[in-house]
Amino acid sequence: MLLLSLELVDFRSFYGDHLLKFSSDSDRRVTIFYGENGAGKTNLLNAIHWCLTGKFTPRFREPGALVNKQAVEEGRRACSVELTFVDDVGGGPKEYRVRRTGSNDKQTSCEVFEIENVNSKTVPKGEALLRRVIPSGLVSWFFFDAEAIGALELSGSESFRQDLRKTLGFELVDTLLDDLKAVKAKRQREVTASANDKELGEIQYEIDNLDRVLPTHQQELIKLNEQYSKAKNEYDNVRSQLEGLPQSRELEQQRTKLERQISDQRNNKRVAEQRAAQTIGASAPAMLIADLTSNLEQVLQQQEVTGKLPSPYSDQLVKDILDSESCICGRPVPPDTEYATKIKDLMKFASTGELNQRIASVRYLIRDIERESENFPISITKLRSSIGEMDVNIGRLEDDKKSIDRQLANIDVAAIKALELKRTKLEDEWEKLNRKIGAQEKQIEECNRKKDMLQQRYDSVSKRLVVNQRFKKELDKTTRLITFIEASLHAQERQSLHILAIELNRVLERYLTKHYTAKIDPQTYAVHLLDEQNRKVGHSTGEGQVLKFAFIATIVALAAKKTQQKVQWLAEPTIAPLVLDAPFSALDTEYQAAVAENLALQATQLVLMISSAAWGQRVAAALDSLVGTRYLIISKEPGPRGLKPIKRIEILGTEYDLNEFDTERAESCFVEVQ
Amino acid sequence: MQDFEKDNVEDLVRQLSEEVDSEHESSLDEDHRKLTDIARRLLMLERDMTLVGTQASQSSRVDRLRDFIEKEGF
Repeated sequence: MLLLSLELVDFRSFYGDHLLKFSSDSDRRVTIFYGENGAGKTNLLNAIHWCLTGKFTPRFREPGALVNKQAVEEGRRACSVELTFVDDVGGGPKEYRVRRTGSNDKQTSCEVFEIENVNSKTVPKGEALLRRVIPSGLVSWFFFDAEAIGALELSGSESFRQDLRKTLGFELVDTLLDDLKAVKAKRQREVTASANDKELGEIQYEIDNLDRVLPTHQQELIKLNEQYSKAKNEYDNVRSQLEGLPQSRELEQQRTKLERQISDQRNNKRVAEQRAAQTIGASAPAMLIADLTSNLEQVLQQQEVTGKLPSPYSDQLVKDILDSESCICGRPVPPDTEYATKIKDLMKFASTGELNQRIASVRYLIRDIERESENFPISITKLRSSIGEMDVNIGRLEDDKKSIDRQLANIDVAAIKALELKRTKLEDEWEKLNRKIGAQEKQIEECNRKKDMLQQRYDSVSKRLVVNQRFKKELDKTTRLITFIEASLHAQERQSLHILAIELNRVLERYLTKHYTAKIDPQTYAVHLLDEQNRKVGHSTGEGQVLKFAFIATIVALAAKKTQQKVQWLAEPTIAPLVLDAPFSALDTEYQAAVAENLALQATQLVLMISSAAWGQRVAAALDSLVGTRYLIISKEPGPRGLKPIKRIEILGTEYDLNEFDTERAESCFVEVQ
Repeated sequence: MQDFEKDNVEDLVRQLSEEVDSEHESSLDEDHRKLTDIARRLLMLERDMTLVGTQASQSSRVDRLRDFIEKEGF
């Protein structure tokens, strides 16, 4: 997808009609909108977001007030956003136009047109085309509200993992696997019917029942997850409002910091608990057989001494005596004498090299078991004591947080009191949903476990029955294909994560002054930033923020397969512009230019909404050669200027004003920078 | 000049990548190659069936996939 133009009519702060062009040249792939706070940068991002998805970004306030206020006063009831883009959804690149209209009472409509030689025809099921062009799981990555970058969780929640899987292009293969499992179920029913066996029929009946129940549970889980992320967004919104108020800012920041520390401590505790479980698991057999092995060692020793187990002399020694016809004591041993026969008989008890080796191996094994059982109490005590320390730390941090909660609740400002009340309510709701999600996940797990057991029983029962061989063969073919595709998918997922980690580290290596590395957990997809000593670095640090920007850029590049040559047949590419609202302001100045350059290089097309504060000389130097189109978003105010400042920005050596006073109405306008 | 060099390097990388792929494919056993080919064609069929404007219901997708597998001997 390549954006060509955007037309806004009475949308939010944009009064009347505005037509904007995006730069789509691959060498000059960047379009920048410069505007101050409140000028409408977030509105602009949301215009594109809403037009393509019908939804807004989480931080978008008052979504019920879409139509420009002045336009409403003049009697207009609807606003519209029209986006023109080029995309190749099969059959070569085509130009499309999406028009979404809306009113303040939430009446919206969406039409999609295909444009051919200036003529346009309506695309049936237009919204489905839009979902194809930009899958819902990818929207939040491609149209990113960078002011909320602090809230971006790279900690590996299930929804994050699912989003990332979609980003990596595995959605289609997931659908294929679901369909193939339905094929398999159908084939299995045919086999069952052909067997005409009561027991097999009953197992099949139970499997069918679970197949009916499982989708309901899965749907419920999706619904709960949606409610959860909605509640979480609202919660984050309240938190950012609290941070925006001068009286609560400092305490709110302290609370955020404490929450991060609590979360880090909990993660560390989880890791330590897993390690303890592993240690117990690994040492348990050694502990159990430690007593037996010490007895075994004694037996070995005893038998050696009594000569039942060969050891005082080797077969080689006996051979040497017989060959040299002389005993080690000097006595002659002539062949075929009684004495030589006696010596020969010793061969029966002499040890061989092979036997000695086997006994030595048993001894080593016994030593290992003993060492393991000796080390276990030391390592488990260490782990338990560090878990105990973490518990104390968590308790202390939670007490500190409660104290801050109380201080915030006691601030005598109505707005803060209301926000705190809302926050507590949302936190409760959010926790309740979390518990419900956990219960639902458990139910799904239980159903799957039961299904696996039933399937095993089915397989063993069906083996001893006469079934229709043709149906059986088709069932086996489908099962083989499912197993093969699942294995390939698993391998490609790992490979994608590996490439993602390499790309991330390449960016970090290039831009961070410190020797930090990124690591991705293949199970949870959590992204960790590690310092030189392999210790985790918090995501809220300056470097952590760079990691997040690098992550977004890498995801976008990976989704477009720009870095994915070796992740092949299962992945579907998604090529779309990266649209970022107000980036860089969350970053340390030293990293802003590097991040800007990286975003421009990784994305196929980049649209930035940027303030003068974030447009420093270094950012300008990094981006100027890649920018094709620039617009100023001018804030217009009808009243007199008085003592209010005029905000200015310097672009390519020329200064421009970003706000005006004494204007006809309050609005935001676009001016193209030539 | 820089662009020329960049194109050359990209060509070289592409050629190398194709060479590695063909070497990898030839190292696979017959059975694996056959399954890869069938899986790839199944995925294309699934993509066509879920393509915008031609979206088939799950039951008809399942029937078509079943027929496809039945025709394949492996």
